[in-house]
Amino acid sequence: MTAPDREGGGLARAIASALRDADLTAGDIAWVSAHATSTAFNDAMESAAFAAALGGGVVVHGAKPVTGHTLGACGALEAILAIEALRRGVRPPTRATLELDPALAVTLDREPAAMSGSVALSVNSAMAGHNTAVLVGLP
Amino acid sequence: MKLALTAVASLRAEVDAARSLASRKVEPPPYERWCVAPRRPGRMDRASLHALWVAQEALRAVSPPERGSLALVLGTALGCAEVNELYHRGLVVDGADHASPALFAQTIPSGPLGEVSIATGARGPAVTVMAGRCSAAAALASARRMLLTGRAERVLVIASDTLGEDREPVRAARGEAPGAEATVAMLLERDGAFGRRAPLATLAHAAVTADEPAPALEGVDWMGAAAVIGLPEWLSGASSTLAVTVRDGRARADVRWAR
Repeated sequence: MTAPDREGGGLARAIASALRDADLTAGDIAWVSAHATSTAFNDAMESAAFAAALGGGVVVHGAKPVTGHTLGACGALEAILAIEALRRGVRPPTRATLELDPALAVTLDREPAAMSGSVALSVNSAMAGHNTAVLVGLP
Repeated sequence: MKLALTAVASLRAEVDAARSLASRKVEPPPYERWCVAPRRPGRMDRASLHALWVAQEALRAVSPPERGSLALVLGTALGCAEVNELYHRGLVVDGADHASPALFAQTIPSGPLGEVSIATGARGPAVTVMAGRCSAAAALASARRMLLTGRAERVLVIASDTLGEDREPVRAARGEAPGAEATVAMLLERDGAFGRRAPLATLAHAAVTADEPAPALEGVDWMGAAAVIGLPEWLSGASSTLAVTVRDGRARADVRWAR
């Protein structure tokens, strides 16, 4: 019925567009709130997009193990979470219970960690090929 | 910077001189293969079918490389509300095993833009705005910002609402005007981006602001396409400007076109 671009091309373009709009580079991003549905196609797509747009190896967070998939609200919810993480200077852990697929080129925090920068990226993807990328930063 | 309108395509229900509806719905003519593969329309929702047809018509003179950077903006009042209702009716009445996967994939208001992007190769920014009867104006205002800020050099704006199940008894009970389907696509381009395509008009203004609450619409309710439904007729006439104001609740939309 619907499936993401296997190469993550749309999400990579959305991230690149957000960086251009904000006049920032990939190196400015301290932390990424991923869509992270824990589905094979989505997670692989996001990993490929992060590698293409950010160079890979980024520290990502998935909120959905805690919040569930809140559908149309998840973009706003996770952007708020990113703002709060920056404001508190803490990278919240991802409370997933399963092992991370070794094919994914991302790092997850299992415990709270100190935020080392002032810009976070929150991304979401939807059916029919929609991708969003929102950059938030401390003033 | 002038923002040129270089193509318009529309589908809308028939209305007679007394503003009576011959039919509230309109069916798209056949698609061309470059836009939609022959078997695909049978699996699409009505909003996507409308959006694809007007996109196909409005992009006839736009080359594949130009379509590659095309931005898309959709304005819709109802969005996927009726698909949502059908999906959840199946889920609630018949249980999770009977929730339609085909309908679920269409339960996002931006779905039609995804289909347009896939079919036409448009890979620029894609944005869907929902602002009731002011949706077309809000979409034009969003496209105008994209063009003025350099995020895009051409934008296909689609204003659309389609009708699924018969809501007229509900609308009549609320004292609302009869709803009718309309979908309009408008190709807007920055100066210097339209090559040999002749500008039809200039978008001089598009904005949505707060205003005093207005009474319900009279006559026919064109829903999210209300602010642009008369554009094709104006283009075939002689007057030099077209100014449209639409109100919905406290929102007021103003759109102004010029030759």
